[in-house]
Amino acid sequence: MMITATDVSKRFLGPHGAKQVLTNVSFEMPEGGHLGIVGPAGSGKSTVLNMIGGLVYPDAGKIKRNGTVSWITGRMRFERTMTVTQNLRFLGRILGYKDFDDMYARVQDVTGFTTQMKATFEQLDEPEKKLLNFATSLVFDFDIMLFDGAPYGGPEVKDRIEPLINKKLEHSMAVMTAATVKDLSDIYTHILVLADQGAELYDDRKEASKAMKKALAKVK
Amino acid sequence: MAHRLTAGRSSRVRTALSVQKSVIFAIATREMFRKFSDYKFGSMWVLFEPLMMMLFFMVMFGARGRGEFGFIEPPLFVLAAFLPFRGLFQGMVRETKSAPNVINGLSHLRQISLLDVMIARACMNFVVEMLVLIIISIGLIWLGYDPVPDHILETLFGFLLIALFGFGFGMVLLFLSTFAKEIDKFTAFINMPLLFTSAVFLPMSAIPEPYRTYLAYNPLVHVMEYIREMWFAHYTSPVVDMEYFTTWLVCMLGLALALYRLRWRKAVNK
Repeated sequence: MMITATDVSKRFLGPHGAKQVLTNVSFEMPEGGHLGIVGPAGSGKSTVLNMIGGLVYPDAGKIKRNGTVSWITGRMRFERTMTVTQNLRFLGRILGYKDFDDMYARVQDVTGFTTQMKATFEQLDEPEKKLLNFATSLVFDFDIMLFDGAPYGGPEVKDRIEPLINKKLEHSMAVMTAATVKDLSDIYTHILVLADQGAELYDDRKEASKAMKKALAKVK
Repeated sequence: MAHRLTAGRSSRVRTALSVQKSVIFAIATREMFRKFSDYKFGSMWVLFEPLMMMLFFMVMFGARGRGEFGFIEPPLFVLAAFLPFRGLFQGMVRETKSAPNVINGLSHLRQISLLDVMIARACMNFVVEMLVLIIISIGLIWLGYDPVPDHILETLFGFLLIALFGFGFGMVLLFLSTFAKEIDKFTAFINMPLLFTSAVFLPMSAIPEPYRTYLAYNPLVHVMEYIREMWFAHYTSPVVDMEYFTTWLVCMLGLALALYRLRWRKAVNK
């Protein structure tokens, strides 16, 4: 099993008091597929994603991952006063990746940066920032890559990054959240449908669609 | 291009300790950069504050007025009192208490734990204060004073102890504030009484009984006096009891780590 969740419960303290998001959720995601997470708004899609990524902890229960996991792709944050290379070096140190020159070369391959490498992050323009953000996900290897929705910004970023990410996913498992089953591409073999604080894992798109429709009808 | 991207799978498993080590180093270097490149005045203030304090004392008591401070010259007395208390103790409290603000900016990286941020910032603070000490000492030597501690290793050990105490105290304050936010208001107020009851402005030899006995209940007094005694061989403190202090220190750190284990998720909202 690549991802195993057992009896996971989570609630958040919000401005209107505590809100129970998940209650005793269990599922087992086998190796060799990709996982899509769907559910009505507020059903805890991002919470499950964050828990798989180790960014949020369950109140009760356990989530086990068998392999390394990325941060949420496209959501890397940079220190704006540090240069691009300084930011990369920081990230390399955190991840235990010592070959900094190789890291810079890979980032340059993806982004086509030249002088920008020595510029501070705040000096980059918006598409460059986006490009760099995805490039950091591409230069390191993870067994599981997380996506919170389709992450790309403008077409100039998407055209450049999407084929590279798809290539990467030949070796890594993707976990993506989406509003409906239709928003997930065909590569997602397993779909986790969240409803009523619970979750059910389907390996059939049609059944997942049906379950999702039911969940939406209940919310209305 | 493509061959390069797929080359080198780095999904090797690291031990928890090696992750922590590299994370602490990464955060320390990053914080160093943030502190000393962006906010220039902030880095100058570290040097400026003890210098101002020394000047103030020299004006108040005269540059060579020794009697008031147990026959320690005022600038040296201030250096030996103000730097450990303000720079190390209060500095450590500040760094550990503000660690959740720093980690909020790094919440996308699961490798970084709150304790890593605290340790990194505490180490950074210690190094910075030692640099300040060296710079000021060089200045004092140039002015004809003798700021080199008589027992250097013991003095450094005293610095380490007071820094550890601040680290534990800051953690306790931080985790107490996770029980009720109002506790913050109280802890902001606690700095002043501590400053006046920890033998910072006066040596214990200048304080009459029975107040001397009362103040001796404050564990910080003992480590301050220990540093003073080790720094100036001719000064003998009437109260130093390091067993009392280390008992406090061990209990404080134990409480801090226990609270950390129970409350760290509340402190970072995870």
